[in-house]
Amino acid sequence: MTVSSDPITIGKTPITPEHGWWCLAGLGSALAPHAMRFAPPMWICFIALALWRMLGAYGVLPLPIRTHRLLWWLKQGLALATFGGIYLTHHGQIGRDAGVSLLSTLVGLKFLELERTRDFYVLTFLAYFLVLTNFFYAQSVPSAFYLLAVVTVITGGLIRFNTPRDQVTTGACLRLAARMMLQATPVMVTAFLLFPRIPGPLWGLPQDAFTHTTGLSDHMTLGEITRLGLSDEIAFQVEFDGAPPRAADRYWRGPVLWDTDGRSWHTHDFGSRVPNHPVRRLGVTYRYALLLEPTNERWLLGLDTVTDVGDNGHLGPDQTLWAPQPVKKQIRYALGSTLAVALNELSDAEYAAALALPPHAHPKTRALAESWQRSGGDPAASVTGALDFLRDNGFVYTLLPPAPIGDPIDDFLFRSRAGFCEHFAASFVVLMRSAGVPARVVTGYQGGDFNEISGHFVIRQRDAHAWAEVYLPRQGWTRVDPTSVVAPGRLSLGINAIADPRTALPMIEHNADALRAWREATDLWDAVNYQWSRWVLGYSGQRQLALIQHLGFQTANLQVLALSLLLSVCGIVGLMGIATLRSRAPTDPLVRHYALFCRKLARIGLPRAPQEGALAYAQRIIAIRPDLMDPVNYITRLYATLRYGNTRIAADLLESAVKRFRPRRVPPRLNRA
Amino acid sequence: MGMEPISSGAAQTVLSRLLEAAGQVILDKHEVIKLAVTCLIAGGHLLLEDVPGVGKTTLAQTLARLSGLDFQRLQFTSDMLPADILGASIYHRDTQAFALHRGPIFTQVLLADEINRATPRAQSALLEAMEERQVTLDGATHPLPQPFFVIATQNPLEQIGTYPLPESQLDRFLMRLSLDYPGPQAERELLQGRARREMLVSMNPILDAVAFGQLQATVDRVHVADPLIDYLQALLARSRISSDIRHGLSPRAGIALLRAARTWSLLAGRGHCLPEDLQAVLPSVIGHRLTPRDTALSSTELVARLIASVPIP
Repeated sequence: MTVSSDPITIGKTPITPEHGWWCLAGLGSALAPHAMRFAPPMWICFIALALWRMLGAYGVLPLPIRTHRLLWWLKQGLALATFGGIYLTHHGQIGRDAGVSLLSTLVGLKFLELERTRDFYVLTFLAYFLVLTNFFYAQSVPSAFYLLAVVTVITGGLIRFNTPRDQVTTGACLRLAARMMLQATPVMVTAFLLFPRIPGPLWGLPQDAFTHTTGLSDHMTLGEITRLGLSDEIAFQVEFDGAPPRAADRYWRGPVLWDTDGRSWHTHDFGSRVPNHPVRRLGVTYRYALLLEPTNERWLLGLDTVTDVGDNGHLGPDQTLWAPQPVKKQIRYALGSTLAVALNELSDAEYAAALALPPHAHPKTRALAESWQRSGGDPAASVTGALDFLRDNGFVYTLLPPAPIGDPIDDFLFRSRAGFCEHFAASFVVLMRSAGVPARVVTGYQGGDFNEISGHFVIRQRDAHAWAEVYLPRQGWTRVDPTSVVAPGRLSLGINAIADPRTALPMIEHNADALRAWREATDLWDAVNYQWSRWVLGYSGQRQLALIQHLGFQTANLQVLALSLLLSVCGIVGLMGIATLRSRAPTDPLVRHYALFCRKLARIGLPRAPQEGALAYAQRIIAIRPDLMDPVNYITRLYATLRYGNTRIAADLLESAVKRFRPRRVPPRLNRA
Repeated sequence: MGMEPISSGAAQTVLSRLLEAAGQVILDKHEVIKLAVTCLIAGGHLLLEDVPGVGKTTLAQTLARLSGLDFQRLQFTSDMLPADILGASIYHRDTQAFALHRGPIFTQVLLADEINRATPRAQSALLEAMEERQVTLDGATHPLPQPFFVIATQNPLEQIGTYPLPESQLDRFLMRLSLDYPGPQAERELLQGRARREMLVSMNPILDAVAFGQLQATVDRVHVADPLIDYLQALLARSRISSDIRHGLSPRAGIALLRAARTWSLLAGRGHCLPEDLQAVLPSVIGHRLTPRDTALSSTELVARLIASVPIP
C-alpha cells in the first residue's frame, strides 16, 4: 500500500473511469430510495449529469472544465436552474423535502466536477450524508440493512481509491469494507446505547416530515375513511398484560366528533369550561402497552374506555386521550382500560353540543326522528327505533358507496342505503339528535389482528372505524355501533371478512395451506418489525438513562453518559488495537532485532522497501554509504544466516551488533587530515 | 552414479568454473548463463524464446559440452511425426524379432530447435517424454538417460505455419529465457574472435555424470527455512488475487520456484535459500506461466509488480 504522502502529488491522483464508477455506485445507491419520493425531474437530472460525467471520462463528451468556457458557463446556468426549479417545486418552503432534493441535484452537479482527489473525497462524504437523509423518510428494518450495504459500497470506493489498481480486485475492496463495518460494530452498538439522546426540537424532524401520513384526523367528511379501509399500513400495536378482551370489545378510541355542518364532523374544543367527569369502573381493568406510529396529531389512541393514563398525557372531558405534543415519532405508552364504566355526568355545554344540528339540514331525517319523539319520547325507544330502521330497510355495508346526491344523510337513509361505518355512525347521530337524544360520533379503530409469534396485536389503518355514543338518562354515555346491525361480521371477524373481494390475493384465496403460510410469514415479519420498533427505534432518552442507572450509576445525566461513552469507545478501540498489534508483532526475536537495524537506517534517510531482501538492501546501503560497509555486511549476513539457515547458535550476536550499530546521517570525513 | 552430496563451498567452486568457461563462449550473457545452469542443475527443462542467430544452439552445445553430457540436436519441421523424435520398433529379419530403433530423444541434452514449427501431435510426443522422463513404444517402457535436459527454442515472431505452444504445455518448462542481442563490445569480440563452435571443441568438460549427480543431490540439502516458505506462499497467494493476472500460480509453479531458488543459492555458495534467490529466479520461472489481464503488460513488468507488492515477512 504505497500511498504518496507528498502534499504536492496527493492532490493530483488521476481520477480514472473506474473511480468514477465507484463514486457513482455509492451516490446512486444512496439516492435510489429518494427516487420514489421525489418528482421524476429530480432524478432524471441526476442521471443525466452522471451520464455526462461518465461519457466524459471515456472521452465521448467534453466536460465543463474551466478552460472550456461555454460548457463551464452551462454548468453555472444548470446550478442556478436547479435552485429555481426546486424553489418552484416546493413553493419556496424550506424543509426536509426541499433540502434533500436540493442536496441530491447539487450532488449530481458536484459529480460532474469530479476531477481531482479532493472532489472524490467531497463526493464520498456527501454520499455518507445522503445515507443519513434516508432516515428522515424510513426507519424500517429493510431500509436500515439496505443503507448498511450502501455504506459498505461507499467505503469500498474509498479503499479502491487509496490502493494502486493492480493490487486489489473489486471483490477484495468490498470484502475489506464489509470487514471494516463488522469491526466497527462494537463501537456502533456502544454509541447507539450511550450517545446522549437529547429530546426536543434539536433532534426532531423538519416541519414537513408528516405530509404523507395517513390515518385518522380531527374531522370526518363522509367518504374519507374508504381510503383507510384499504390501507395495510400499521396504525399501532398493542401488547396486553394477561388475557386480551374479545374482538367485538376491542374499540380503540380516538377523537370524538361533536360539531357538524351537515357534511363534515369536527372535534369540539370545550376549553377549560368543562371539567373532567368522574368515571366509575364496573368491570376488570386491562393493562397494556401501545406502540403508536407517528400521526402528527396530539390525540392518542387507547382501548375504550381509558381509566389509567399514568404520565402519558391527560384525558379530555369526552374521554379522548391527549398527548403533551403532536406525535412526530413512534411512541410507546402503557395504559389501563375498563370496558364497562359509568359516565353519568353531562355539562350544559356538552348537552348543547350533543344536540346541535345545522339549521335546515337533513329535512327527511329530522321528520322521521321527530315522529318517534312524538310517539313516545323515551330516548331508549328512539335508539331501538333507529336501529330497527337500519336493520329493516335493506341497508348494505360497502366500502365503495355511490356518491351522495343532495343532502348526504338524507340520501344515505332514504335513497342509496349503502355505506360503511361513518355513514351509519353519522346518520345514527343525526337521527338521535333530531329525536332529542344527546349523541356524538367517536372515531378510532376496531379489532386488530393477533400475531401468534410475538403475541401482540397489530391494528392497521384498514381497521379504522366510527361509531356513536348516546347519552341515556340513567346509563349515561352508552356506545351504540349502528354498523353492527347491518354487518355483524365487521366486528367479530374484522374488516377483512367483509372487505371488497377485489382486494384479496386471488392466487392463494382458495388454497388453505398457502393462505396459512402467507399468514405465518406476515406474522413473522410483523413480529420482527415490532421488536425493531420497540427496542431500536423506541430506545429513547428515558430508557437510556434507565440503562445507565441499571449499570450502577447513581446519578444518570449527560455528563455520565458522555463519560461512559468515551470510556467504552476507548476501551473497545484499545482492546481491538492490542489484539491487532499482538497478531502483527514479530514473535521471532531475530526479526525484531533486524527491524531495529532497519529503523536505525531509516532514521538516516535509508529506509528498506517492504519487498527488499536483506542482501539487496545491504548492497544498496553500501553503494550509497561505503563507510557503513563493515557493520551492515556483518549484521546482514548474521541475520540472513540465522533466519534462513538451519543454525540458531549465536543469535545473541545479532542483538548486540544491532545495539552497537549507530549510523550517522553525515558520513565521517576520513581524509580531512 | 555417485549421489553423495558435496559441501556448498565445493559446489560453488565447481559451478563457478562452469560459469566462467561458458562465459568465454557466450559473451556478455552472464545472467542468462547462470539461470540456464540453474535450470540444468535443478533438473528442469528450458525454453529459449528468441529470434534466430543470437546463439541459442551455441548455448545448448556449451552447456552439454561443459557438463560432459551427450548432445543431440533435433530440428522440428511441420511434417515431423512422433516416431521421428521417439524412435520406433523395427522388425529384423535375421533375428526374427522387433528391435527398438531409438530416436534422437535418447540423449542427455536435447536441443529441440524451433519447436513451434512442428504440429501439436509431434510437440506433445516430446512434451510427454519430457514430463515422464521415459518413452513408451509398443507397450514397452524405455527410460531416458539420466540426466535428461531439453532446451527447446521458439521463435517469438509470429510466422505463418507455426503452432505456438499452448499455455498448458508451457508449464512443462521450468524456465523461459531469452538471450537477446549482445552488447556492442561483446559483438565486436564475437566478430573478431574465433568461431564459437571451434572453441567449443577445444574445451574440456568440467563436469561428468557423477559430478552432475552430486550437484543435484547437494541442491536437495539447501536449507529452506519457514520464513522463506512464508514468503513463497505470500507470492503465490498474491498472484491469485492480483487484478493484473488472469490465472494465479499453480502449486506446481510453487514447487518449481523453490527448486530453482535452491539451485540459485548453491550457485552463490550458500547452504540456505534467501528471499533474494526467489526473486532472482522468479521472472524466468513464472514469466511464461502468467497471463496478464491487460495484454499490453509485458511479463517482465507483471513480475516486477508482483515482487513489489509482496513484503518480505
